[in-house]
Amino acid sequence: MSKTASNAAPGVRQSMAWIHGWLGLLAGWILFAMFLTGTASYFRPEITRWMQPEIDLRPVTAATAADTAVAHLQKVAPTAEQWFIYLPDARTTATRIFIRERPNPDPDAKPAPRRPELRLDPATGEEVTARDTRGGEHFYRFHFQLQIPHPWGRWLAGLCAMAMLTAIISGVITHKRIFVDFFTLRWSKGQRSWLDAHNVSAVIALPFHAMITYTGLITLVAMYMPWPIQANYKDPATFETAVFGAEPDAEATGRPAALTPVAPLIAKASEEWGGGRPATMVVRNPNDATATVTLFQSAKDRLNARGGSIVFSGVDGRRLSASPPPGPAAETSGVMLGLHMGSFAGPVLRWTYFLLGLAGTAMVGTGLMLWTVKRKRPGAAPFFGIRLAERLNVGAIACLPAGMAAFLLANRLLPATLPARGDVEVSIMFWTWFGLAALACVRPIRRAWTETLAIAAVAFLALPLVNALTTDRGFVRSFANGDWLFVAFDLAMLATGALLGFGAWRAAQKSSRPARKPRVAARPVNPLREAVDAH
Amino acid sequence: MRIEPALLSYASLACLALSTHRLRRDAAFERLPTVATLRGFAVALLVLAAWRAVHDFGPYQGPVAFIGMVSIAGLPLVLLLSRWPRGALVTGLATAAVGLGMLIPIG
Repeated sequence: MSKTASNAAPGVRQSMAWIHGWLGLLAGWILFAMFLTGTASYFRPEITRWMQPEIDLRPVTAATAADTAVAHLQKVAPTAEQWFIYLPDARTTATRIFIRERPNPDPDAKPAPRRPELRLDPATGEEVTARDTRGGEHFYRFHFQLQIPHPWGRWLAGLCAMAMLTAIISGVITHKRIFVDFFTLRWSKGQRSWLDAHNVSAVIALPFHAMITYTGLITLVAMYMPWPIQANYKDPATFETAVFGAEPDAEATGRPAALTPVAPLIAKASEEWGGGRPATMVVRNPNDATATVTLFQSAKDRLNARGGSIVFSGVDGRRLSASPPPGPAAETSGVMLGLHMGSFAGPVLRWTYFLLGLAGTAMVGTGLMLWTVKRKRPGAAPFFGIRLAERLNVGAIACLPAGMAAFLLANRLLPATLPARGDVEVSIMFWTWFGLAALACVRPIRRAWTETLAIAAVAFLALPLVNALTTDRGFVRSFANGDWLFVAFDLAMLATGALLGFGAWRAAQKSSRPARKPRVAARPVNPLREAVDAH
Repeated sequence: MRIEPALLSYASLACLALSTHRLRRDAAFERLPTVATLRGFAVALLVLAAWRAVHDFGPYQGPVAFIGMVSIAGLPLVLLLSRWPRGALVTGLATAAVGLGMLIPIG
């Protein structure tokens, strides 16, 4: 290597380290929340099922569920404009239905109130009532909307994801000893330990981190960069039709016609999809001569999360049309969405995704810790920026898990008939999260870490107990009944509580231990390498 | 359970770890295969893990499963290495045995 090149390389590394540190810090607190709630969202239907313990249904075939749902809708809304039927599968055991009423022809009339979504027992078609909750959907929505009104939440999440992508690239360039440090994790060595933990959690799962960040951005790319579509399609609806196919839009004629049985349509669609299953069925103008039944393919069997659709006549079951086969761009974007959400993943792959998500959360968390630890000077009072960053670190890393536990505890402890119960659960999560973070600000920083982590740990450890006391699906009974979802949930809560408890214990140890003197005289180091490595 | 790729990956990464200078010193085993042999084992185990992932999860999900499981296998390995380097490496032998044993029924 020439002298000029060897001089230039550290310059690039240092500027990358600067970008990595500052972008990582500024977006880090939100990214931590996005990673943690996104990771929880890999179990979105399971969390919802845990949060509605009254519903304990056995899975049935899609055809049976569709038949029972149609029978129910024929009873309650035979003249509606559209029926939306979300068919159950192994993970979501209830059928969900939504009715869109026909608009009142009188333009001055008040629009009919929107009907709520209902849940049905797929075996009988009977309506299932359960406590009102947002369930796992709350974590999922928060992950990319951040509980901020549309479109600002999505924009903020997108900006943070862009910062994350930049931080990943600059981090890889900065960290030159990737393979040497691959297996290195040293405990109780202050800044060194945080750097090791950050490196290990980042490098080991680097393919996942890069994939999840890039595909996350691509998921909402049409919002962040709408110009290619605007330049090519004057009307956005034309673009939708070109990519996803035309939705049937015939007006009802008023001539009654019996709705064709839907089970044979599901069999036909499944055959056309090479064994693929339908996820959603939309019936337009039921019991009218213009009735149509549209089946949308499930993403559970394939990497592409955007499945095709087939439209059948609702009168004689003829196949009328289908969505066009996806072009390379649509296929790529669908596969990226699928890779991000892991909707194709069976149990083993879903746990893999979940653990990789935790590794990503740990990467962001350790990076945030590293920023403050490396800037603190022993004996000197930390300046305002460090104190602020430390408090925000407590608020994100310790108080968010406490808020999530409070959300789950509220689900068990609030009265089932409380008005707007689902919203109250969400409010409790945020009050706990931010309230605890505010309280932690008035405590010395070491005590703040110990106390908030301990509160979060206790909240998680309490969940199995509260669940056992307030439902008939406690650990022992679930284990005896082979109710593995509830067993696994309890174990996951205990593991999370133990992990947070371990964090509280380490923080307590540190606060009671006097600063240690180095055991050996410091070896002379290359100051430039230290500066670069420390980022 | 279809976790053979993760078990084989753990063993492969343990071989790679043992081929590094620092761990050869820390683990303090009396007799060790050469660095080249260990790297050969590591590559062979990784190839087996990749093949098994594609076999179990199909040509599309297989690469996702393989990359994900190699990453996941690295986390417990590094955590164990940080406290009990010898235990971590011996565990690698066990996961190799179990992972390879699970391959036998399908030949």
